[in-house]
Amino acid sequence: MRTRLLVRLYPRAWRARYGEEFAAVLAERRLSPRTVIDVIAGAADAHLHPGGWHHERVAAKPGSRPVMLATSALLVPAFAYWLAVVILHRTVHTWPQSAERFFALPGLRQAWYWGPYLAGAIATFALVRVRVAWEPDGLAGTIRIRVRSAYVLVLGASILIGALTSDFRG
Amino acid sequence: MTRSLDELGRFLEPALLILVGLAEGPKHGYALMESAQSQGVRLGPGTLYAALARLEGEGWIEALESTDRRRPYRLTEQGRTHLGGELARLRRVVRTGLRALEAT
Repeated sequence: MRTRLLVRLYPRAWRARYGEEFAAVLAERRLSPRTVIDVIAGAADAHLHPGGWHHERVAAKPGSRPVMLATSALLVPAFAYWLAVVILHRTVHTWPQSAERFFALPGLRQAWYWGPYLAGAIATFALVRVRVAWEPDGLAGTIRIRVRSAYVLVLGASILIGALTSDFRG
Repeated sequence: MTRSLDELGRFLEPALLILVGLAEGPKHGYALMESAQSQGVRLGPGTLYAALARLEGEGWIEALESTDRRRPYRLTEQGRTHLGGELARLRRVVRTGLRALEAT
């Protein structure tokens, strides 16, 4: 039972390839806390480096999934949070006259801004990574992610830079 | 494009132990853990399979047909070449280190 639970920590594609033999190895061994920690770390590695077991050379090229996903994970929540803060702040408080002041980010330098942002970044990163790890078509998935990440990167960077400069001016 | 063994980062040592174990002949996962243990290294199953999967991905080892749930692996020619290169490098390190220790 515990063996099956530990094997289930791994991505589906990994389990399809190594699951049965891995379960056999676990069954031959006493499950000490050290072994459980090792297996959890191994499962995390399999999620974080899906290419480690079938297409790592594609994924390891500069600008491919790890880098782009990390960038996306930082920018997507930043954009979402910025948008929510701008709308809420401006709705509750003052409705500025100019478009420039409307898009100024309130409270950017305050700690309360960064907490939810970091939580969002980590959650997005985890979700995207898990989804990619479970994608059966490695190369096609990589290309799709690259296009999506490049789009998010450009969009997010321009909005973030705009917000930052507006804030410092205002 | 093939990579060198030291590009495996933190999986270098487990990978080396697996390759050394397989140099003796085909072995399944548990036998590889015991082989590593005989070298004084306790290899956890998570670490073992992370390294094993990378080595298989590189084409340095290959899986054989299994009769039960335990699948044996064997060293490929490419794996043998890489292992030979890495062991030669380690021999140079050991020789240099020993010489330095004797001189001081």
